[in-house]
Amino acid sequence: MTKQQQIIINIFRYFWRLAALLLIVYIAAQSLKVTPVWRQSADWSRTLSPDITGWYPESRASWQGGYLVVKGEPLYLQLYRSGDYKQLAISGSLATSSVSVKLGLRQSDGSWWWQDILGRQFSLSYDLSNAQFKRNKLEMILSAPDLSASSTLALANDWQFIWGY
Amino acid sequence: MLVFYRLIKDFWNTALVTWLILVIMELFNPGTVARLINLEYWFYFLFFSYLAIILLKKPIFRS
Repeated sequence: MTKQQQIIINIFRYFWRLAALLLIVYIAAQSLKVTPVWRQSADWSRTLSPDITGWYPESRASWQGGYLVVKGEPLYLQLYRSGDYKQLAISGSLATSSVSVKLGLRQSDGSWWWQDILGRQFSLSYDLSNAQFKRNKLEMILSAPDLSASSTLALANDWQFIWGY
Repeated sequence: MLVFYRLIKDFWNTALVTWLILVIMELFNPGTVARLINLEYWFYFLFFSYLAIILLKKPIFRS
């Protein structure tokens, strides 16, 4: 092997290593949230994103005109928590024809901590000390027991999940 | 061809070490890596590319 060939090999070798190092640093930086407040914005047009999985089952909801139209209940959601946050505040809005809506957070004993969503605009707060985390993800449930074929329920695309200490 | 073989082998070695580091990160803090990268597909890539390198080593790279 000539000296020129060895130089080419070394250049690529260090390039691969640099690319790998950058990838690891990027992933670590994405996961190390040290800010006092971490805000996640929901995008209901897709059911899978790095931080939010849901709402599912997908057959119970459809994306129409900027809203997630709920066709069946309950719906489930998984949220990724980065860092050791103790509080979760959820705010957003929905469009409904007088359907009562509840949002629940899975607790470590398997039960749900329910909170009613009152009005079109809402803001809820959950204490995470007893919440159940699986692979750093917590699970939420959206229930609308009164939902029927004649009623409507749609989630606006402005929901925000705000993590805090 | 030998240069090409060395380049691919270096890439494979780096990919393997990177995968191991990411697996360790995932084990220590579940969800850290898995929410961004599918480590399972990465493993399949390593496995099949290793087989390809072994199979093609003699007829192509050593010619």
